[in-house]
Amino acid sequence: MSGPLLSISGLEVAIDNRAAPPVIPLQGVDLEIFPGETVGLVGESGSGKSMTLRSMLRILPPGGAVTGGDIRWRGRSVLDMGAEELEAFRGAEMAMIYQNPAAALDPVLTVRRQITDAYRANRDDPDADPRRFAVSVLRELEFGNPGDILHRYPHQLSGGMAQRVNIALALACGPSLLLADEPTTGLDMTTQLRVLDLLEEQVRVRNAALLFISHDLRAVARVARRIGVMYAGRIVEFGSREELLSAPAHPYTQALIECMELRSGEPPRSIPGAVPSMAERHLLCAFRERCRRRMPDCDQHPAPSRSPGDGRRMLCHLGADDG
Amino acid sequence: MAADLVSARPPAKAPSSASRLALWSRRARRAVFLLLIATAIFGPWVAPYDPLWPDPFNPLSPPSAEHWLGTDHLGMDVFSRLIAAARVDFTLAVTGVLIGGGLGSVLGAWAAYRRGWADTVLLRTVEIMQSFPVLLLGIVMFTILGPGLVVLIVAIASINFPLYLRQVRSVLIPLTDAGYVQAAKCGGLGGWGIVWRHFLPNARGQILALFALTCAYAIQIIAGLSFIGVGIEPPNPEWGSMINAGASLIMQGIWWPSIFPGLAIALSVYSLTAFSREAGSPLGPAGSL
Repeated sequence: MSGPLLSISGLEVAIDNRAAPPVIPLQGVDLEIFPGETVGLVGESGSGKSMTLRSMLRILPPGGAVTGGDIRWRGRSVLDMGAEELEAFRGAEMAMIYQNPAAALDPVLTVRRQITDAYRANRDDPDADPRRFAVSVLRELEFGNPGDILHRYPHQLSGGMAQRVNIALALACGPSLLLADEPTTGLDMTTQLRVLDLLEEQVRVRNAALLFISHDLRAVARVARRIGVMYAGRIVEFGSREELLSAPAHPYTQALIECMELRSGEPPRSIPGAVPSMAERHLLCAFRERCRRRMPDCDQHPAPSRSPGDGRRMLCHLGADDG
Repeated sequence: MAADLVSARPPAKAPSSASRLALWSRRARRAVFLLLIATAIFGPWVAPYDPLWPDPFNPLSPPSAEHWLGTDHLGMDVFSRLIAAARVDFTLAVTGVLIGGGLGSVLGAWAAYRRGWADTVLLRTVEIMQSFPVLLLGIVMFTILGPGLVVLIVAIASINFPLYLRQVRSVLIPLTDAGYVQAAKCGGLGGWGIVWRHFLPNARGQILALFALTCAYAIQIIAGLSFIGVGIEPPNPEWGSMINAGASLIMQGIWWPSIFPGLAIALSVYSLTAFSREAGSPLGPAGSL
């Protein structure tokens, strides 16, 4: 297939919590994902990463609604799907791996039951063998004794094991696009790297696409070939991993990369200031208060979208004249 | 070093007399429980007499070697009738609770998942059902359906339906926000799939504990309804109607026709509630599942 699997254009989401003015966690988000590719989204908490995933699966929190733009899956609008279509779409086309592996597993069911349930729910093939699949997927996820793991309950798994079981659950659905919502946040560093590598390998072997989101640029850069940087509900810069890391164009991306670099003898840096409130629509650049390269234009006009190179996008006044 | 570690372990204590008492009383409860179940199942093969065979020459004879628990006003053997009644009462109670409780549990889980107007309608319905006194409900059903076992089963089912619905619903409400329910939804599982595969299994322990408790309650209700003449007609053996038949004789010193069925009810209710308590405790069957 030549077209994108998923294309999001101008997505805006509002959450109406009745008492206060609605919160607008996403505005004008554009994103395309092609079959088999790995894309990452990075940003601070509250930047709208998880909300992007949630709107793709139509599981926005209560009061949340898509107020603008469109989400298309293989050309078909996800927003127009009825309940039955959604049921068939979720899992089989797009499956998700969660941030908190322990919470995403049902405490009263064995690992085997959960994997085989996910497998059956998304396959019509009568010859499919859920148990054999469960054993093989656990083996591929480097469990030495899949037979033993299958009979365990979630509380008998360590954090790293639980997250690998979650990956197995998502793979059991057989999706074309895997969504990973901070899948390694709760794990220690060495386990993180192992889980990331396994995730990347499984996606490659199964020829599925991956959308990986994290606040940790290092984790995103390890698995994703194309990376979007989110800030206050917008993707402020998008580009290939190499370009983004070696020549970040947006001041926020630059600041993020600086925070990541550990120089010997210096404490890690942070970006001064805080993420602005999402209670209003930001027409002007939301980062300008914290930006080192703020200019008069920033306080007067919305940041223009520019393409400084092939497949690259950014929202900034910086270099707008020469770009 | 190793010796130190070994000696540092607290010495094995002999069980205190209190805990030994608790252990033995638990064993006794279990024995009584199993005995009652066995009686209900195998009773008819053990009973010395036909429970419906009257001995016109021997009415109201006190307990003796011939009739262990005496005979009633028609000369029927109280012990044989007691055993036959155990099967009737247990079967009715379990059937009614299974029907009402099963329906209530499934709809309760569904209401907890669905919320919204369906939940509200169900809740208001069971509130109305529960606002009728149990005896009134039984009498109304008796007038609609006429005498027979069906009345009792329907009565027990409709008393239990609201109990299970409310209990299961309230236990499962927090699950709506659980990560794994969201995950199951994102995994392409539909509403009933989630109710069946995630909601109901999570209420298993509570349903089991409630089952024993409501069976005890159901036995009381069946006996109560039969006592006032709703349901099982005499001379068919049933604990409640046996108590009723002998009730007027107690003042004349003829205690055996009604005291023994009364004891049978008390014993069944006690052992079932005790079982329910153990099932509901973290170390009971529910915790070890």
